[in-house]
Amino acid sequence: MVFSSMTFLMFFLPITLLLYFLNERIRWRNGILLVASLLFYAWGEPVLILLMLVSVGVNYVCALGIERSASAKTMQKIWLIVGASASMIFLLYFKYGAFFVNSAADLLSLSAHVAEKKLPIGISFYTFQVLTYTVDVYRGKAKAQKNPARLLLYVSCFPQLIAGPIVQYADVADMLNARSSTPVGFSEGARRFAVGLAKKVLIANICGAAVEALHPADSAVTMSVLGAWYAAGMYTLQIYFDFSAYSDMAIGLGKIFGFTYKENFNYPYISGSVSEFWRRWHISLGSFFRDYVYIPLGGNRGTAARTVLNLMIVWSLTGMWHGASWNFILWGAYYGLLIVAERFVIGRKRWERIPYAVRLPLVLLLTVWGWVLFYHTNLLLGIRQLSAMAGIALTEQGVTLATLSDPLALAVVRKYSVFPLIAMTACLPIVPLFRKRFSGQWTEVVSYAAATVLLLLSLIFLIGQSYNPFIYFRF
Amino acid sequence: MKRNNGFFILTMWWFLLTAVIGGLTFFFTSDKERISQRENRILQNRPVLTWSSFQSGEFSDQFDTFLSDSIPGRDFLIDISNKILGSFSVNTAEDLYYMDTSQKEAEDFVRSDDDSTVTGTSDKDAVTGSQTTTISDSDAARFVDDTAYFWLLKNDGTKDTVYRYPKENMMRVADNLEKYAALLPEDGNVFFVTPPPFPTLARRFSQSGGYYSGWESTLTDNMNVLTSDKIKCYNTLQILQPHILDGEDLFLYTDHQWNIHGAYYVFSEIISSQGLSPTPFDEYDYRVNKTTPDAEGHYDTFPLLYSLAPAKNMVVQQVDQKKEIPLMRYEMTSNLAFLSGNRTPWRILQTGFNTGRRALVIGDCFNLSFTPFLMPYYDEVHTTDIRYIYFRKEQLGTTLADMITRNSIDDIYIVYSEANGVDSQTLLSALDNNLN
Repeated sequence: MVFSSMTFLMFFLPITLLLYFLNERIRWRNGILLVASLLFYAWGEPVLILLMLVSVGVNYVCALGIERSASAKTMQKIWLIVGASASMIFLLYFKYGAFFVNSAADLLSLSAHVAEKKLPIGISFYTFQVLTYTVDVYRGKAKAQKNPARLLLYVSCFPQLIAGPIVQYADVADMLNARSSTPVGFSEGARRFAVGLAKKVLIANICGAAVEALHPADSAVTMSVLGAWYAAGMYTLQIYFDFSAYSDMAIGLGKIFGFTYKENFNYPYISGSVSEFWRRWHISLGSFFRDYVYIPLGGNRGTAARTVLNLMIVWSLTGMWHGASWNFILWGAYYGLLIVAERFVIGRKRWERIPYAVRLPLVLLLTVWGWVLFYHTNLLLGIRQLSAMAGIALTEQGVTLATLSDPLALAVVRKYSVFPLIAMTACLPIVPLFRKRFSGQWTEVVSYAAATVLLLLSLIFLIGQSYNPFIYFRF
Repeated sequence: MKRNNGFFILTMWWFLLTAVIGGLTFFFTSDKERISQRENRILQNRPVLTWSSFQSGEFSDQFDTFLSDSIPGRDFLIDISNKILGSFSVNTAEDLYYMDTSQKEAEDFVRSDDDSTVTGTSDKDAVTGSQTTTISDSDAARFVDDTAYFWLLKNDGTKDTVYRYPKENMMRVADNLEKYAALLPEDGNVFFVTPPPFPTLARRFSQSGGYYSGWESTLTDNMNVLTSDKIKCYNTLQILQPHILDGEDLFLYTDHQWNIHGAYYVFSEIISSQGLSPTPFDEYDYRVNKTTPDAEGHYDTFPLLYSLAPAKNMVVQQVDQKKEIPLMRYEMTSNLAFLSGNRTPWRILQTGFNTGRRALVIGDCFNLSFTPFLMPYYDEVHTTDIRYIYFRKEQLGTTLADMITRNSIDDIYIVYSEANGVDSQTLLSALDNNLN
């Protein structure tokens, strides 16, 4: 189920809220939330829920095993390996199995290829969450959860189940046992949810329609320079508003139910460096890789060469996490190289001496190029679009100059001429600045009035919108 | 504190209101078939919950579509959202036309390609590719050996490729057509027609300001070489070309489909090539309808034929459950007026003629304005659309092969637009998957 679906908005959410707030005891509330979360996941994929249950079940046992073998380090390691393997094996099989086999077959010129498996929704997110639980228990950062239903609730809690943010167990362990839902938390959470819904329906979906129009069905078309740039720009807006919208809705829903989730986005498109961009973009994923991969690898504590290696491993894995496809690996490696260059070739201090007005567009440009790689799972098409952006048309017949514009691109640009300006403005931290400048009750009144209008508009737009998938669902 | 309570009550009302709207929609929506003339489609009825539909995810998709299709005041709300969107753009009527038609074409591709039952098909990018490049005459002569092309001809004598058709795709479609031909009696034929959706021509030709002089396609030549004599392939692009170049309107402007005149030209060619005389267009009585205006107020007019003989139109469910529906919906303002729309899974037109022959038309919405012309030549004309969004063997209760033999079909017409054509899963896979 998706947050921006009629079923969710008109039935699932109101009924869940009603049942949840009818009971004050945490056991009941957890029970209702758990049943709702399982239904939320099963809606459309009832069988694949078994994978999540198995993964949680094995890790529940393993974490208890880790805790009970406190004095036997080897035994703890074995429990950890069993738990981690049980989670990762599903991810590897469903997400990467076909990719690895087919890539190996291509490399060895074998004809045997396997078909890709249907990817269980949200498997990348919940696998990482289960992993953080077992690892946190192993590290002594959290106590093993004695109640399997609470552990299952941590993993399956519907606000963050499918597309994050990736919630680390240690951050919510206490909230699973006791939390309070207040009227203020309810209204603030609802407002955040409405804003997220509006970002998705009123901005991301419209940007997505423009992107679809510019990447027509006859997808090997050599794009004009204008079409290639506009498609890249609109996708840059779409992916930000799409994913940050989901995070907003997740955080808002969490707040309604008494959970406090960490922020996942912090206006990434105002970043003055690539590393800053990644401190502002998908923060929970960055934190996961930092805490569970980069630091265990040695982080930056070794030689420069070792740090570079660690960075490249982490960024390649970050790319791979997004999908079993070469474009994602390349996209991750691209960021790895940029961060290495920023840190070791240019040097952070030297980079920061460059005026922000110069750094900002440079970082944005690098980001837009990155999104082109990210968009095309067919690497050749990504390269073609990047070439078109550089004015070069790559065709099977050879290399020619790309045309500057084409009628379709012009039509799309004119149709979406005002709209991207609004979207770009919404990428800036105007709301926080406004709230800082005009704090007070009336600001709150205005914000709730605006949220009400946005919610209404979102519902109206949802009725006629056929373009509604969340991009991050496929990860 | 009071204000905080006020915010709480306000936000609670948000959820309460959505629940009320959802409840009203769910409980008070009629189970009768509803048609959106604005969107040219049949709206989703309340889905039936079964384990298989729930397990496959079909129920959840249908339920969500049902809710958004059934919201009270839906058309009004869609108008509002369109007006808001329109106010944020500086597009011209021509832009809207480009956008709308290209999106519709893309939707067709998405629908036809999104067939989860199909794996291991050829690379779509290589299949549906289009590129602006110059093809030499020697390249043009390569057909059958590897690739067929649909080109737009430039005034300077060079060509722009609009579509490429790899040989493996053509061979696969040819094989599929042969399987259908094998089910027909000795004098039966498969007629293969793939009309171009208007955007293909419009985007590249009609609006090019004289940059192009015409077009040509080598697809039909290839297909004729790859298929037996029982299969007749028609080059619709070539048939329609002189008429379009003469300035005739053969496509709707508010939709991506051909109009009745475009359909008639192709029908006439097919019938003439069989040594028969096409019924003259002016023998038909018709009523002229207007299409629903688009966002800019533009509309098409289209003649809606009256049958030459008393005819019946029946929807067939589960092999033999028949339900009569109107032959034409004269009150309708879209292409769905023809044959009462593309309703599934199977249709039978009892034509009122006695010719001793029966035909089956397998096609998308392009068949709607084409099929009525076939009626004087057959006792019965059956129709179906095998795209997965319309057709499931389970719904029909049997296979296409069984229906073809059970109904003693003599001729089969395959009428799928380019978007659902040789490079789509419709003809590459669904045609084969649904046969047996």
